[in-house]
Amino acid sequence: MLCEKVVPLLSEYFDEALDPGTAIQVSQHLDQCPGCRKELSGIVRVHSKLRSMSSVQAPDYLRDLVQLRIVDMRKNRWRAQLQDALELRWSRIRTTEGIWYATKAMGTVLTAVLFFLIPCSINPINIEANSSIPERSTFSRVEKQQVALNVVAKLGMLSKEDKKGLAKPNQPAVKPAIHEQYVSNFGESISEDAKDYDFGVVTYVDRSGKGQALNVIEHPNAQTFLNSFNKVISAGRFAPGRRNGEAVPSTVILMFSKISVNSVKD
Amino acid sequence: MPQGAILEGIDDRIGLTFEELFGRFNSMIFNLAYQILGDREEALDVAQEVFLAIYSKMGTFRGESSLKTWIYRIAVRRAANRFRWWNRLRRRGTVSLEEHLSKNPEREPTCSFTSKTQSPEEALLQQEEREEVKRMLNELPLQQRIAVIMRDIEGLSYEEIAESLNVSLGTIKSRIARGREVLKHHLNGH
Repeated sequence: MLCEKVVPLLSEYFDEALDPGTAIQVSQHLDQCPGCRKELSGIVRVHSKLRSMSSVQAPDYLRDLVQLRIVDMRKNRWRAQLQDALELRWSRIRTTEGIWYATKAMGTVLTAVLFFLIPCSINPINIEANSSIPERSTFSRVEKQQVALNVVAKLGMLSKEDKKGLAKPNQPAVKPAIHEQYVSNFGESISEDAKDYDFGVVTYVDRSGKGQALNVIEHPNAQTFLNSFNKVISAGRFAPGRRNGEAVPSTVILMFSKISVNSVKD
Repeated sequence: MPQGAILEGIDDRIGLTFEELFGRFNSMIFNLAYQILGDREEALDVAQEVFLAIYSKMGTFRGESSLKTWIYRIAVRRAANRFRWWNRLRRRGTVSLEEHLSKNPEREPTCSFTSKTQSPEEALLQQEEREEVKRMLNELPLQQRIAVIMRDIEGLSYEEIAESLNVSLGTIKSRIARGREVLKHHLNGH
């Protein structure tokens, strides 16, 4: 047996932990090799030094301390057990490098996510960029005219010439949302002299669809405007409000804002 | 309450009252904690924790390992956790167990092994030598230190150590051999 193989086995040889065959081989080698004997004597020396440390006696009052803590634990058994378990778990976490750093990393990530989510919840990042309803500015001049004509036609206020224009086949049929119709024509046609073109009209509509303007909201010359508005709507008919399929009297608030109306007359 | 009444709990699997168990193992637990931590107060604290753990876990002892290795396992875990806790404090730059010990020099308690026939000089020399061995032992990596302490100071067999630490026999042999090798080099240097 070579020294390189014997030296690593000396610790076990000293402790008589080798299998008998190997132990005999090591023993035979030691008989012939002073270097390995020296190595072994070093182990013996270490062992004897450590044995000389001997045992340190526990102090007598350890028993009293344990007794006191057991009394305390019994008083608060459940709380103590929970605390003990938590302390043990926590001590494992804080003393196991991997878990400790993983916990720190997870905390950092969660904090980062939290700081990202808070502003997002205040200012949502998902804005509907592609609305199916076209913006007002996307109406071309011709389309605006068409919208205006449609509105006026629905109110029965079209002249014969206008009706011809409406029927032109080469003009695209535009069916904007109802609010666009109001915006694009009706208000302007009767408020063109007013400085403030943004206004609303509270209108009473009876079962037959006949309307009567009751009040004007936010208009500088409300009473004059009310009268002229009533003249206009007297020629048209509203769709009456319905409840369970039956026409009922209702109140309609018509909101208008400025848009060029001259284009209708071009 | 009569003295000792608290410790009279009995468990069929263990076959000992807690009082008997305390009497049999208190020095062993305290000594092991002291050798691992190198500090008497810390060892005292850990020993209390170990007995409280034994008291509350007596019902969970399955008898799969011997009572001795079961208790050793609890004691080693608690002591190692305490040691790592001190180490963590050191890394954070607060304090280390070694610093703590150097600021509060720990003299071994009056040693029962000191022969009455020794001269004061001999006793002092032996004391210094023990301090030196203790210092060298403290320089070993924790797992090697524990294995060496359990083998050379506590006198446990390889199998008992492996069972207590819940590692393979080969690992224990390796840790002991490496630990002894390092200590041997230290001793040769003196």
